[in-house]
Amino acid sequence: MNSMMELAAHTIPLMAISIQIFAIILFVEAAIHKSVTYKDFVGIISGYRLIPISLVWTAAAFVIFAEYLAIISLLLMLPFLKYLGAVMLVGYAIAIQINVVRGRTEIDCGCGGQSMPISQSLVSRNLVIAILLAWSTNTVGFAGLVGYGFVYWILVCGTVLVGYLFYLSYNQLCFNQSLQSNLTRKEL
Amino acid sequence: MTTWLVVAVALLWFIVIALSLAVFALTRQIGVLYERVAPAGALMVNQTIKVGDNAPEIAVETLAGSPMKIGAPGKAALVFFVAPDCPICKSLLPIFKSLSQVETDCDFILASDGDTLKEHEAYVTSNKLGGFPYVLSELLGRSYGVAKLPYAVLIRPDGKIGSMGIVNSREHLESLFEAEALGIASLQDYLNPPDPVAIYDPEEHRS
Repeated sequence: MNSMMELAAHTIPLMAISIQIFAIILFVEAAIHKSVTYKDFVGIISGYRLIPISLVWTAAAFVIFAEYLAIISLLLMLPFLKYLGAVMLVGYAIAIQINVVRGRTEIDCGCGGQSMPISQSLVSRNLVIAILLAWSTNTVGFAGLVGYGFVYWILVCGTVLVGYLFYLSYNQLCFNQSLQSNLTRKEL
Repeated sequence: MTTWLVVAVALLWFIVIALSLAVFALTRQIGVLYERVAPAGALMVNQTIKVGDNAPEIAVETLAGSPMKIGAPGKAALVFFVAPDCPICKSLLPIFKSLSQVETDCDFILASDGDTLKEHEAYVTSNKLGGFPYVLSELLGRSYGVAKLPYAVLIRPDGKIGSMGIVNSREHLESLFEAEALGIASLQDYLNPPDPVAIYDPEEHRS
């Protein structure tokens, strides 16, 4: 029993920190991509048809600002604000879900990186990441990790790397699915 | 014992990373394959003529001054409609040229209209199109129902339209030959194959 406890005591912070680093990478990638292609991002937001056109520019700037804020809050483990990342992912999931229900699946996701159409699988992806992120920020922060050794950080790097590769593969599979349905759909 | 465990775990880590890389590479390849395999070509918006119709026979004169007849039976011909001020046409010219080396039993003809003669001559020189007959005829474009550029029409040796459509990429241009070989008239035909229920003829299956 004791050894099980010890195992959990080592594994849980490892997973939690890996998830947080993974989320930070995602947000950094997304935030930089959105700031660089700001005009495109405005177009993507208006494609979602959730806010009046007159507010789209402000909303785009606000989203980008919130993403940078989420990165900083995760790094510094700010109280309350550290959950911002998870909340934003849920927000994106809701926005995507609304448009999936509306049947507007051809719009660009705007998830950062490769542009791809939205789908139900993207909603699930966002929710899974949001849950994992909320759990991990609740569990442990970077500050509690000072005492860990070299091997520990190698393990963290490995976990993040594999996690990120799985994330990329999942994205690509979602993209492939839409390409495949393009091939077989009846109407043009 | 512990040493072996460390070695085993390190090895497993290595394998896991390598495998997840392989999985990503595979999904990526499948994605690229889907993009390539899409029957991209020959989106047909032509109301004037149909695939399988007799190609309208039009007498034209090339920029060099020699007369020729487009649409006459004899040899297969690819008529590629371009304009000097069309950027996509320009990007397709190298593909047009390389295709002309592969499909040797087919005449490759460039067609255009409008603009001044000088502009067309400059276009031919700057893009090194001297080897191809370049014809100027408004009638030609109108008879073949060309509304948007770049447009290409493949005329079969028997003087009928083999395939045609708007071409925007190498795949589109090549697909004209592919479509002709497969007997599929256009992109729409590929995506909307005839409904098997509608074709089903009960008389035929009654014994």
